[in-house]
Amino acid sequence: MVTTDREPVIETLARLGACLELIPIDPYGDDITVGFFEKDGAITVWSFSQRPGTQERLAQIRDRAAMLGDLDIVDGQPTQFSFPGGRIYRRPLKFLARQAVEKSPDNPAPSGRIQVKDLKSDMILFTTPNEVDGRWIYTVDGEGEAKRPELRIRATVKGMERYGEMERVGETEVAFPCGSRYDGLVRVLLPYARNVTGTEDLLEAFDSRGQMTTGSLGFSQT
Amino acid sequence: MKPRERVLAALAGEPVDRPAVINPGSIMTVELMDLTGAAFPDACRDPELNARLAATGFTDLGFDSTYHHYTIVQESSALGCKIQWEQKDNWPTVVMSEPIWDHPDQITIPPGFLEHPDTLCVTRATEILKREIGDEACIIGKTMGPWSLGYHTFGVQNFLLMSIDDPDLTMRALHKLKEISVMFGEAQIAAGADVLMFPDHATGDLVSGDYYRRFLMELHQEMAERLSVPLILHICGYTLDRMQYIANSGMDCFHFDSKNDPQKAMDLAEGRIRLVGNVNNPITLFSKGTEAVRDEVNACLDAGVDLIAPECAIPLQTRLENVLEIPRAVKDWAEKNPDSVYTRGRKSATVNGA
Repeated sequence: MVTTDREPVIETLARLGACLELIPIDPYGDDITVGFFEKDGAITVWSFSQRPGTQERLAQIRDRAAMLGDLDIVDGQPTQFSFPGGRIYRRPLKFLARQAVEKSPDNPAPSGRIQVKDLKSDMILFTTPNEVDGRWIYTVDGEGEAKRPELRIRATVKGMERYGEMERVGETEVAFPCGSRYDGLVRVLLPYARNVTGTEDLLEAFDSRGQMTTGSLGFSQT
Repeated sequence: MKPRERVLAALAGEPVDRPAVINPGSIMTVELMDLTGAAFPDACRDPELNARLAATGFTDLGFDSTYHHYTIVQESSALGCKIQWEQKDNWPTVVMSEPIWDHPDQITIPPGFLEHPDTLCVTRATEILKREIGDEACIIGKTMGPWSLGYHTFGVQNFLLMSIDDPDLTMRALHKLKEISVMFGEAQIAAGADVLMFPDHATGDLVSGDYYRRFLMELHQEMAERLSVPLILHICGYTLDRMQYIANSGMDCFHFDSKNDPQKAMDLAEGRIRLVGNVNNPITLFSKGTEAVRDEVNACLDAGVDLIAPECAIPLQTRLENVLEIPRAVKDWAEKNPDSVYTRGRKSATVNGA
């Protein structure tokens, strides 16, 4: 039979809200597609898949996302989380969702200083959170060898603005507009922020997959 | 009107209760694959899975039609081309860098062409859809045109070079390849297809408008005579420069790309051919929200575009809320415009929408 009794898609979507992010293949969840839907400030990790184990996997992804991003889980809702500061940051969520779905659930929780090796120098780039007048500000800095370290730090700050929806509050300082402390989110973002060109290529590759165009069909090889 | 009646009436230019919204291209997404348990590439090769997935366009998304020949590869696979089947989140495609023919004399239709699993999948799925929802839904099949088959079997570069170096040889190839289009089209009609999509990628990105006139116009006229259901010609990309020829192709309808302004396309068609389209895929449906989708649907309706549809196969990762917005916007527009060219019919009305 081509049709079955189930909740109509239109009703499911009305219940879930707007789809903020879609990960087409979950390598640790039987290749199901995982969506992150937002309604009334709560984000639901969802899949239309009826495969056994799907709900458990979605709960695992929810836990992973909340842990990696320093976000709140919604009590009594095993697949929901929220941003404690109230405002939802869609761009960072894009990267967080990929990490939560596509990285091994067995990876240990990251800890320690928020840092990453620079790709264009021997420098270690790091950020330090500080509370100033009730607002959490992240200072970007670097240590180690680089020809012009200030340029690398400034580029990383720009990357944090771009991918974190963060505001620049000083030469090397950024903050989330709601002023909240999201060390986990910043840790997720830092590797992308240090390499805007590479990240743009990555995002373009994500977006172009599954598009049917003369190019993707092989009609533009002349 | 039943959706099937609405589509067939719209294709004939007759009055409809509201504009028809169809999918002469895939509207399947990775989420619908999960919903039905029918994921690519299996859903392109197993008729039961294929039909189950296709039905959602009608049962869940609210389109007036179904479309189950998702890929461009089924015929070419049966001809012997190498296929890259990909996985759930990407389109299967023909490996055109490894052509199977380099001269028209080599073109042969294998004896078991219609029994090959990849062509049989399409015809069997047509039968299933016809049997289960065919009274209500318009079942749209597809048979690839000879120009597209030329790309697949000769390789894009080789085929285009042949068209420059030896136009007569190219015509010989096209006349042999068209028999594949007819054979597969007739098989789908026999299986229950109400309408056939006819993609023939003489796109503005690759060839000029004059190419269409020289190589394809008469050939398409022949297809329209030989295949006994309404045909929807599909050519991607910019096509306004060849619209005057397409309008005389004898095809019932032309599925056009968002690179073409709907009003200009309607003006050029002058009622000689119905138009269907042309909601943008990569930007609007994939990247924007429901408001932008609605705006594009309304622009098409205001221009009087005969049937509303996405411009081509939608990206597999399109958010379902955007796809659902297309029929929703069509229905809302119809309620606000009860007396329009759609309800009056084309044969007694002006081209413009409301």
